Amino acid sequence: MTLTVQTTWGHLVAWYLFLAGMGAGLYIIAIGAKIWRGSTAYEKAGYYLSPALVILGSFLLLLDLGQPLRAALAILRPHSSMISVGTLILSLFIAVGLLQGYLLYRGRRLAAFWDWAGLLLAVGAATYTGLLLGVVKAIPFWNNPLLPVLFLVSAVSSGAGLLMLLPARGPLAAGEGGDILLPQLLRLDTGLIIVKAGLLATLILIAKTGGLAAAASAAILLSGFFALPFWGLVVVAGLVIPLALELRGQAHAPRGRLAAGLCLLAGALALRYSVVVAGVWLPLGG
Amino acid sequence: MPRYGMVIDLKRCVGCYACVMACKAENVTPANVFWNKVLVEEKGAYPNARLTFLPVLCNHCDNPPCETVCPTGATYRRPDGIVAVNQDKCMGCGYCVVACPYQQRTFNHKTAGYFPARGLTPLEEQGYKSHTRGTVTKCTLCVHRISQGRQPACVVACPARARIFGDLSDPGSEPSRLLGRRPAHRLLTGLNTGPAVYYIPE
Ligand code: SF4
Ligand code: SF4
Repeated sequence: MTLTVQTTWGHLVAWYLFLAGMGAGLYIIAIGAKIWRGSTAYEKAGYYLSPALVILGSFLLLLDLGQPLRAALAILRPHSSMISVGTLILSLFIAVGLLQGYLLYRGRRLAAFWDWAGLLLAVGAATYTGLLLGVVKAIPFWNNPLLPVLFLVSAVSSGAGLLMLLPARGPLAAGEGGDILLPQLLRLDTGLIIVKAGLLATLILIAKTGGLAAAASAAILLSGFFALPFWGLVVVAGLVIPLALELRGQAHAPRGRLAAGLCLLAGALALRYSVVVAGVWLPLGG
Repeated sequence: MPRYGMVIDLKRCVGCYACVMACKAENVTPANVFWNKVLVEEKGAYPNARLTFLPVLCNHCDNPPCETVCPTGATYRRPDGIVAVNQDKCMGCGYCVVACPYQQRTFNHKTAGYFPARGLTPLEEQGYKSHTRGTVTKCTLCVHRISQGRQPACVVACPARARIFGDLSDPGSEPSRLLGRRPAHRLLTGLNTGPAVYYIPE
């Protein structure tokens, strides 16, 4: 029984999933802080940086196409494929974000309704990056309803990581008197990391105990050709180090905060890579 | 309306690859692209080990997952059951490649041909015109031959007569009668793709 690993999707798709997810996740935290905490500390990061990241990600996806000029055909058929649905969600998100960013730059703000709309689109965009792979029945490791949830949680966590990296001064800074939301950000992220770890462990366990193809996917990550990035970046950098830094309070200090942020981003990117490269097709024959 | 399909008699297949080469010659698929493959597997243990052969091609599914995921509408299912790719609409996203459970789709990078040092052969030069670089390609069931009343190239080439092509919706057709007589199975039926390629087990 021969098992084949898909190689059609690789680097660009992994980066695309990462960047689009991070942009959406950043928006969720930044505008969530505005809606639920009444704080505009992260507003600029959300309005300026989120659409920029999603645009960059979409650009990479465009680069990955064999015939990029035909991409418009996909938007014209939003009812069909998950790619069409996703393209529509990402385009709307970019449009709303750009508009909000432009107005903020001009010193104006849209009604609160648009924050909610952007938030919904951001949740949709982050979830979609997981659904894109999740609907593929031919690859059992991907075909799991937990995957979109994991990607969503990881996206928000990478958004938190990005906020930890933003300098105290500059156009995106979280406010003049320092980052007053930092303790809440760190507490939120600690929760996200724990949920992320649980989802990832469950996903791997399901694959490991599943059919031949799913088990082969798990083996690629646990002990196969991608074991080093998986254990080193996804598990240690993405989960263990930031969790330790946050729990021990070191993430409050500038250097700890920087380290935690970098680790979160590396972990989120490596997670997208891990899932993409470990896509093993169902075995043919019998 | 016919429903084209194929029965492959694994008792007859000798693993000679004539179908693979006939497909290559007929469709002049780019280097390293195979619309028709023979999967070889070793079964049993020494001294009773033997090779088994499984010729695979696009199953021209009733519910093709490749069509469901296609964002541009380039992949479509014709009324006669043939699943086709419109090369003028395909944007080369590769979604169908990962989504086809039968691994029957290939991204066409269009290489320099089989003899890169010598450029394209006259056959390649002519044949490559029908393949668009940057799109996804797969078996057409030799629709150009079917429309002329001829059989697909792989069927004609098979020296063992292991491949039986015809209209599955016609109970009198050769494949239908064969399926009535002999038990046959299809690949990965659990996914409800409804393949139109049947296999008579060894
Ligand atoms: S075998 Fe694959 S390419 Fe052919 S119709 Fe079915 S899903 Fe599509
Ligand atoms: S590669 Fe082409 S045929 Fe395949 S899903 Fe994308 S647009 Fe459709």
